[in-house]
Amino acid sequence: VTAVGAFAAGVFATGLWASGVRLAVPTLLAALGDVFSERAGVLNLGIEGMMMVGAFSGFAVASASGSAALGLCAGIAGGAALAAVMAYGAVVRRGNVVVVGFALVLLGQGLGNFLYAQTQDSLQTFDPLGELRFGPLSRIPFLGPAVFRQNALAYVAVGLTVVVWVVLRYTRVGLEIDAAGSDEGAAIAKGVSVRRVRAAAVLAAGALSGLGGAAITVGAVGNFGHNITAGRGFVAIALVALARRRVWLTAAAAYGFGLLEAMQTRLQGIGGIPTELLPGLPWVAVLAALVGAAYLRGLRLPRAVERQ
Amino acid sequence: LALRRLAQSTGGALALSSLAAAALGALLFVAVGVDPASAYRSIWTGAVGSGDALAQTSLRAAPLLVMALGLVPALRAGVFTIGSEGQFGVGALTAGLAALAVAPHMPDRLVIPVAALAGAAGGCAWALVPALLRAYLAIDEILTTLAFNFVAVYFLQWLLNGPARGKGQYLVQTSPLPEGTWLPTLFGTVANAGLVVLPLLLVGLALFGRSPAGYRTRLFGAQPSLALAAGTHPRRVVLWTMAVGGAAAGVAGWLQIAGVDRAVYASVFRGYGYLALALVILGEAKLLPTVAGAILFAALQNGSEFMQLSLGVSSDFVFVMQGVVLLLMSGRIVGRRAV
Repeated sequence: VTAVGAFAAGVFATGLWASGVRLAVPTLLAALGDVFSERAGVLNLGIEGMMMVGAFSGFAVASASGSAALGLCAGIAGGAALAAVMAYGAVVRRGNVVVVGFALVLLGQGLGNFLYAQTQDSLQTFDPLGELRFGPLSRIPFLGPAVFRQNALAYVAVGLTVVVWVVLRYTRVGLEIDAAGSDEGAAIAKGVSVRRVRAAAVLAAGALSGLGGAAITVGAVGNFGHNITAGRGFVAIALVALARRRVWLTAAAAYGFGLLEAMQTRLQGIGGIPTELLPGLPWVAVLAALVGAAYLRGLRLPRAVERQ
Repeated sequence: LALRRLAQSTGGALALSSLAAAALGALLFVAVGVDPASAYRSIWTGAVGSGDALAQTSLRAAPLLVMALGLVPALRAGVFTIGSEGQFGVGALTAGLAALAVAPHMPDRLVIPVAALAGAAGGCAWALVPALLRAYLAIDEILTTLAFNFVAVYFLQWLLNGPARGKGQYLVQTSPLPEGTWLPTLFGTVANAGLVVLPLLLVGLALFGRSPAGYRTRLFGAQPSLALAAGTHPRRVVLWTMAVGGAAAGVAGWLQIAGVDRAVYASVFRGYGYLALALVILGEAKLLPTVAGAILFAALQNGSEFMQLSLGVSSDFVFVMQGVVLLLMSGRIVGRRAV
C-alpha cells in the first residue's frame, strides 16, 4: 500500500511531467527518423549507432567551437554520415539489413566511445542548452514547467513531428516512401526509384537520430560518456513498431517512454517497486501489441507458407 | 583479378575485409595520435602472442562459437532469430541458479552437468516463446526476439538486484559459485574443459548437414513450397531450429558463468549474441567460415583489451574493427533471407 501511495504521489508530482517531456526528446527525434526508414521498407537496426556518432560529433564540435547550434548541426551530419554507410550497404549493395544495421551499432558505439576516450583530455565540458521561459505561461501550475519551460530542442522536436507528419502524409515524397515500403513492385511499375527513395529515407533517419544523440550531449548534459545513448536507439525502434509506424502515435509513445524514464529515477529506493523492470515495459508492450494484432487478423499459416 | 577471385570465397573475403579494416583502423589511430604499429603489435601480443593469450582468446571464442553454431540450422531454414543475446543471459542465469541450488546436495563434479543442462533449458525456453509466436500466430521473429533480448536484460537486472542477489555482494550479482563447480582448467592455463562442447557441436552439425533432416531444413529455407510438397512441417522446422539455437545460447551462457565469471552478473550481456548471428550470416551458415570468424573476433577483443592495459589506448577500438569487417562482408549477401 505504501508503494502504491508513493507511486501515486510520484505520478502527480509536477517535476515528473516536466522531466518526462525533457527525457523524451532524444528518443522522439530518433523514433521520427526510424519512421522514415521503416515506412520506406528498411528495417534500421543501426539507429543506436547513428545516435552515438551524433552524440559524439555534436559534443566535440560544440565543445571546440563553443556554439551549441554548430554542435547540433555536427550531430545531424554525424548521424547522416553513418546512415550514408547504411544506405550504401543495405540499399545500393542490397546487403543483409540485419547485419548492416548491427554492424553500424558496433561501429557507431565503437567510434563514439573510442574517440571520446582518446580525446577527452582536450575537450571541455560546457553548459547544456538553457530552458526557454514563456513569461507567465511558465508559471501555470503543472502545465507550465512541462510545456512552457523546456529547452529549444523540445520545441524543435515537436515542430519536426509536424514536419514529418506533413511530409509523409501530404507530399509526393511521402507517397513514394510509402509506396517503396508497402509494395516494391507496384512502386517500380509507377516509375518510383525505390532505391533512391529508400536511400533518402535512411539518410533522413540518420540525420534525425544524430540530432537525437546530440540532444543528449549538447542539449541536456554538456558532456559525453561511455555508451551515453544507453540503448535509446533500440527503444526508438520498439516505439515505432508499437505505434505501427504512425507519426503521432510514435510521438505519443516517445512521451510515454520519457515519463517512464522520469518515473524510474524518482521511484528508485522506494520499497516494493521494481524500477529495474520499467525500461522493459516498451518491449513488453510491443510483444502484447504484436500478439493482439495477430489475433485480430486471425490465425494464419506461417509466413514462409503464406508468401508462396 | 586474383584479388577478386579471393574475395569470392568466404574465407578470402574475411581475410580481405580484415586487412581493409586494419588499414582504416590505422588511419583512426593516426587521427588520435596513437602509433598504429605499436598499437597493432600490442593487439597481436594480447590476442595470440603467448600461450596465456591463446587460452584467454579461447575463453572468449567458446561462447561465441557455441552460439553461432547453434544458429546454423535456423539460418539454413531461413528462420531469422536475433534472440541469442537474451537466451545467453537467461541460460547463464538458470545455469548459475541451478548450480547454487544443487551444490549443497550433491558432489561438485555432478553439479557441472546439471548446470549445463539448466543453461540449455533456460535458453531453449526463452527461444521457444518467440518460436511458438512465429509458428502459430505468424508473428515475425525478428521483432519478438529483439524484444525478448531487452526483456531478459531488465529481468536479470531486477532479479540479480533483488531476490537472487548474493548476500553481501557489492556488485549486482548472485553469490559466487562454489570453487568445485567451476569448469576445470586445462594445461595449467585459464583455458577450461568447456571447450569439449565445440568438437561435439561440430561433429553433430556435420552429421546433421548430411542427414535427410538436414537436407529438408535447407530445402525449407531455399524453397518452402518444394519442402512442403516433400512433406516438411513448417511449424516443426521453426520450432526445433529455434529451440536448438536457444539451447546452444543457453549452453554458451553456462560456459561464461561456469568457466569465466564464476557468478551470474547483471553485466553478463556482452553483445556476443548479436555478434554470433552476424558471423553465421556472413559465414553463409557454413561451418568453417563461421568458426574462423568467431576466433578472429574473439582474438581481436582480447588483443584490444591487452592494448588498453599496456598502452592505455581505449579497447573500444575493437568495436570499430568488428563493425567495419561486418560491413565489408555484408556486401556479399544479397537480400534479407539469403542464407
